[in-house]
Amino acid sequence: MSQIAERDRSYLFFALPALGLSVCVILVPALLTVVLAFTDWDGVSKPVWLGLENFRDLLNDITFWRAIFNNVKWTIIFLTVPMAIALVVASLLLTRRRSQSVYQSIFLLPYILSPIANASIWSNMIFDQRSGVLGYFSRHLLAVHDPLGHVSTALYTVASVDIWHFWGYLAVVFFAAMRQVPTEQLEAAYLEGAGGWQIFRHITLPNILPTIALMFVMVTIFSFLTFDYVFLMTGGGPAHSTELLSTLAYGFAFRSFEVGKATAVALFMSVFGLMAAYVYVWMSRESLQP
Amino acid sequence: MATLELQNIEKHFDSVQVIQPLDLSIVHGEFVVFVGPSGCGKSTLLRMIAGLESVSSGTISIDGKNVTSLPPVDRNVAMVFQNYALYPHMTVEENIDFGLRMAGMPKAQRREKVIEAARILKLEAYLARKPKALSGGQRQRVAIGRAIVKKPKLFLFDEPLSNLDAELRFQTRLEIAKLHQDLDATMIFVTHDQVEAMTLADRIVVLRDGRIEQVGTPMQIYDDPANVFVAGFIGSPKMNFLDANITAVSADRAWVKIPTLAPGDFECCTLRSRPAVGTEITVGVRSEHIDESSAVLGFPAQISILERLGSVSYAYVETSHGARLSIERRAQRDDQVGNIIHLQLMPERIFAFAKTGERL
Amino acid sequence: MIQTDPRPALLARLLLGLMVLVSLAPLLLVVINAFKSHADIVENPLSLPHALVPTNFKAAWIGGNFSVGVVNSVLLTGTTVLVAVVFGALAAFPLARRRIVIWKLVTLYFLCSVTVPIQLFLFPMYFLYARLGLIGNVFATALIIAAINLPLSIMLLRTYILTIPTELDDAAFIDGASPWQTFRYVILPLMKPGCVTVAVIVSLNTWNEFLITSTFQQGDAGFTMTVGYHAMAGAMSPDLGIMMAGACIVIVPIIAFFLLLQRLFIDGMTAGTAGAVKG
Repeated sequence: MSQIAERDRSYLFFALPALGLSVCVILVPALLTVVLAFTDWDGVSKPVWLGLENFRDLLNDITFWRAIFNNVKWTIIFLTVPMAIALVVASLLLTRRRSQSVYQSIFLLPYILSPIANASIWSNMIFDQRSGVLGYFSRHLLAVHDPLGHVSTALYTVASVDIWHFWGYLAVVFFAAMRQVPTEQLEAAYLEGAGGWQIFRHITLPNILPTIALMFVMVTIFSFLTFDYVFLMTGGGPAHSTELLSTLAYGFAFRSFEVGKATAVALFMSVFGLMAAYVYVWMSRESLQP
Repeated sequence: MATLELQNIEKHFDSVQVIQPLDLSIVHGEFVVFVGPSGCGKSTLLRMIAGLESVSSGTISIDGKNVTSLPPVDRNVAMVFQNYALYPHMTVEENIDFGLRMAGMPKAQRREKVIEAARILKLEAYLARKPKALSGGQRQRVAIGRAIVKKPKLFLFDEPLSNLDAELRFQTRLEIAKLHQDLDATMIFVTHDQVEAMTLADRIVVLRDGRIEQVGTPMQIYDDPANVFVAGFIGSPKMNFLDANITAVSADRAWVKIPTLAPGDFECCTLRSRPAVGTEITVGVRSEHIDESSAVLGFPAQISILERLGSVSYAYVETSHGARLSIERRAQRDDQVGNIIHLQLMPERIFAFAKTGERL
Repeated sequence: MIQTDPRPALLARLLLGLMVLVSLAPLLLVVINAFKSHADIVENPLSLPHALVPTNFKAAWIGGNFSVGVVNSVLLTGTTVLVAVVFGALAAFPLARRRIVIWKLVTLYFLCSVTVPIQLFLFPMYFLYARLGLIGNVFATALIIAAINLPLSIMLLRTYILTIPTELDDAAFIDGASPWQTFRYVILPLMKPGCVTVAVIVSLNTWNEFLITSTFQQGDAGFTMTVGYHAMAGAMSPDLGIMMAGACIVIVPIIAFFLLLQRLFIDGMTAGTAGAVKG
């Protein structure tokens, strides 16, 4: 018995570097952040204990509720549009045997590009009223208002760009999952007279359900953390119509130097994330077994 | 070569008892086979002897030294795995030399020993190849080479032939038998195949559900099974079992009534004890011990299935009272399905087992 | 293969073609406009350039400070990958092989840390680094990004090690190898493909990373390519041609890298999801 325990002690050293780094960079600061949420701090002078005041301020702040509302909208958008597109395209790819990898690579291109590059391309090259494609259209064809500048369309516009960036990844994941459906099942269904759509609905879909579920959870978690595209394209405006929790926190920390408030917002983000994480861990429980 | 003593060895995982407390002694140079159905614990027992699994309680001694808490390298054992467990990224030479390298032996010395082992197993031509460029049989020989180069006290084989096709299995079986003779080593061999057990072993250990059911030479196990399980496990086709009861008992024999076979009693002289008259028992008789008889002396049975193998045939027969038997037929070429044949049982080949399984 | 009648096949081709267009159109726009002057672009962003002149590129290179940016990006990515792969491989070993409860807890910790928003540890880290004068230090920033990529690296490498039969560990154990020797001589050589895949994925993540890089790599000397481009795009919004040229400079290396190593990218992306869920 002790023989095995002793061996495990030496294995501990293997995990030490990774654990050490992770604890120092993530865990300890995270714990500090939790504490900071109850203080008023500008990043330089000494923090002042505020108790729950930050939270009260946030709950009374209409922008905060705006941000949560926007996050929820964002999550709903991402759980539907890119997932549906990815599922459809992935199933279409199954029929194109020879050109599958070419299609996959093309669809992945937007995903692998830096958010800065993507955001810049869309903001400046496409949406810009003066020099972009939309501006060109406005002058020569149909006057289109700036989608990023209008409160009613800004969020959906940014979401569209992020969808353009993201759906390829989902498509590749779903495609890989679909290819793992055992051919015997597909052939058996075919022999019993099932048509293309029926095979998809009754054989393929149930088989890839675990992957879809996992993507669901992943998308939920990451949609509450989403930052890059919103920050780069609108910064949270116009008039907070694209304000998300992440941009709100950033603004509090680096613009108004209310680090306490920023960390309080971050805590809210984590709560949502933790809930989704609970589901994620529960689903990955098989991977926890050795 | 070495002696191995297992004293009161048992193993459990949480509340699941995998090996019941057992004792076993193995002497110098013996070839012992652990045999039993899947899940009987034979591999676990082997791995405990190797040092790959811990022992929940009890002691393991090799040559009188208590090795229970020692790692494999300090027990001086070597193991040949079912899937060979060759290091795929290393050449044959590096595979065989790995253990010596871990022990810190200098390179020149290692090379010498590796070449010697390679010569014994006729692997010199393959030393620079990687396992994926070898056939199944060659890989198995490299695995054996890796074992012999360490000159271990104990060789452990974990179902090494299961992954080979029938032809290769047969050849490798012979090679292992020869290796045992040449090296004069103590070997423990685990298999689920009773043919391998019977052909290779000096002694067989029959295991079931973590218990030793019987230990003995192949012929002892065959001629004198300790219980219904051992009797049914060893021997192919499986022994015929029928319900019966004891009608009379004398000093060295008993008479049993087997209702499904025929009216009248059958004599049984393999008893180890004196059971009471009327005891419900299970009677066992092997297909090769049921002989041709005359209509007067024997009982009738009808052939329902006939399997001809050339030198021998197996007839699956049914009696009019409901018994189903398998019979070995050697010279009866005019057997046909549907024929009625007459059979008799040899009294010295009928076994009586209590309903709980032990031999009476 | 199951036959489908031609009409759906045509529809499939059309839809796929549409998606290809949607994916590539913006990128094409970047390329053609990188060679045009601002005035030309304003006049017609969709037209082809007159000549393939590199004037915009030269201006973009200087304006985006890319000579510094390239060095920093390479150093940042290289260091992050090194740390993420080495620390990850080491940690993945006991997580894949050992059974006692403590390892399940460690696995759980790493799984959960994936869900932690960067904002939750960003602020204290920033002010700590500021105190220590590490803002703009590429190696220090690399540690942070490596820490974020560790869970992914560990999970992927762990899955990879699980495909190596435990019999090899047993054989090594019987051969007298210590855990370190088993790792170094048996497991690590067999993990190489997994390590390469992880390196590729982490490289991509790091090169494209924005939030942490922009926060911690402030100051001109610390700019990576992406941060440099961002600064330039903000300052140079009047000239779209130069901006697009800058965008080209930023995205071309990634695209080239990707096209060369497509298989590895896709394997890495799908390994943690489709494969892992199957168990």
